[in-house]
Amino acid sequence: MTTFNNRVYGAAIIKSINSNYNADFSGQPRKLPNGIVYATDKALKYSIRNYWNAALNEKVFYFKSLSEEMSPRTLDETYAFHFGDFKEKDKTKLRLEVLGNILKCLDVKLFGGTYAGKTNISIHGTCQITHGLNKFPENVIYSEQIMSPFKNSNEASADSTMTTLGTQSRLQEGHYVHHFSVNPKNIEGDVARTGVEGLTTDDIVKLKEGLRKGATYYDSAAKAGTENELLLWVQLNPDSKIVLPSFVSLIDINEDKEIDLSRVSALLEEGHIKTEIEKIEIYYNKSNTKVIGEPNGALFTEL
Amino acid sequence: MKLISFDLKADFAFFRIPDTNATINLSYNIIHRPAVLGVLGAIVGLDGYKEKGKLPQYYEVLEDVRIGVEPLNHDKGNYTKTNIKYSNTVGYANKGTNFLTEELTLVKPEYRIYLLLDEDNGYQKQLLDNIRDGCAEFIPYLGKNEFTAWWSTNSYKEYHFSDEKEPIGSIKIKTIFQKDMALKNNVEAPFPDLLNFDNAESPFIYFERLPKDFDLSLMQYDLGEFAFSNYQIKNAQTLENLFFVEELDAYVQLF
Repeated sequence: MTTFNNRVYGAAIIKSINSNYNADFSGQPRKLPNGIVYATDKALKYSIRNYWNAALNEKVFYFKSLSEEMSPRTLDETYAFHFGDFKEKDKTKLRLEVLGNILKCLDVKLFGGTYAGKTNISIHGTCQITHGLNKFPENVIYSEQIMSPFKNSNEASADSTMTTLGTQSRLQEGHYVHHFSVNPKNIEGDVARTGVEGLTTDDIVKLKEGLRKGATYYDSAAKAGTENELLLWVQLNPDSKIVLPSFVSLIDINEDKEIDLSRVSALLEEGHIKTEIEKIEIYYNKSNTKVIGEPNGALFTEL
Repeated sequence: MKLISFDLKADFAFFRIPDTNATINLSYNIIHRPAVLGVLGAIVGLDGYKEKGKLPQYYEVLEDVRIGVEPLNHDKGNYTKTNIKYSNTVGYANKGTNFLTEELTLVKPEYRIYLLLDEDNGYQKQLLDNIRDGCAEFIPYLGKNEFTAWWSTNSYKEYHFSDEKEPIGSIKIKTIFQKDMALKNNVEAPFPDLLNFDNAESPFIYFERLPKDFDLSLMQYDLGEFAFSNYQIKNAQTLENLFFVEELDAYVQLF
């Protein structure tokens, strides 16, 4: 398998219409103090892990799984579930054993992870995703009452003739922009230590697929209406080490729902950056997404 | 020796204050020296923490670099903070139940980092070149790896400086500075000249207790009292490590 040695910067845009992409603990979409709706990196990573697990049948390590008694497995139980019991008794060797095994999982290679169970390991993933900000000018959240078909079971409502009520909240419209980077160097040390395979082009194909389809694939009652809208992929020349700013602040979405990439394009045209770029790819559906200011020379593909 | 600066920014940042545990976790407001060293280590490509009780490679290599921090785009020294709650249902944080945590996260922090670099030192020369060219071996982040950080090559500046000029009268200090003595009733301690401040902005003094280094015997942060102000400072001759920067016509403290 060919190893992947390029640094990548990019943006994933998630469209959410009458939907709740990432809720806080009151059940409302998460909001910054200035009222802008946002989503954590975990929300996007969850949808990608779920896609890998369910659609691609990949082994995904950092994912909730239930034991036969229907309770979530602990970290060590999850390890045993995937790789069998711990073999090494020696502390140092055990660390290497666990590191070598979990580093074979696609999600660990890309998103990293912390192992705090029988041994302690921290892996800096190669793909780092930032919080996604809603760049659409409106941030309208509404709540509605919903009725359950059952009577409250507690004693105070023993004579009640009513069923119980609840609330659900939705964001009317949002276009969340997440920035991400891929840096294969992050796991180089661990790969050399354990002798497992590093980041391959095949892993990158799966990462792109997750970034293009993960949110659309995951449909729950709250997340129906949340879909992948666009993926921008800026791949640098092998061994280029340039640092680019977060695309979150450079991408705008106007009232007509057009995605404006002109500030990203201007950045990528700058002399010292342009020469470092190997290719720019852009994925979206032409039928329902309009993009303005596309970077020069970007390869277009439908999502 | 070369004095340079670059403007480091991110959409969010979280510099954990280690003396809280249950429920809400707080963040330092201003990036501190140990955190800056980590960012510099990422830029040069040095290893981080590998083993409990052992110092990371970047610290051993970059320990001697003098650092100054000037907050940019702040509100009287403060950054907006937002409380982010996380849940962890994977099952390994708490056996069989959900683990919840809250982090009071900084929104859009931006710092001008001053560095005094020795070009004869290989790593420091590499650091200088990488900052000037906008390159980094590992992509830097502020506190947590989802808070990616960057600087633009336009923000890179080199300065003429001297560390011999004795501060006389009231002086302007651009960076945060360390104050070891109480200001109250201590005429020998540096204190703000309350008649002199930059007219452009409303006057303020900001105080924060920040890590200034690692305490190597306890393996924990060594804290210091810091101040940041747009007032001019009197009695500044008692402050250590002040450098006069010609281009700014002001002082910076590098510690």
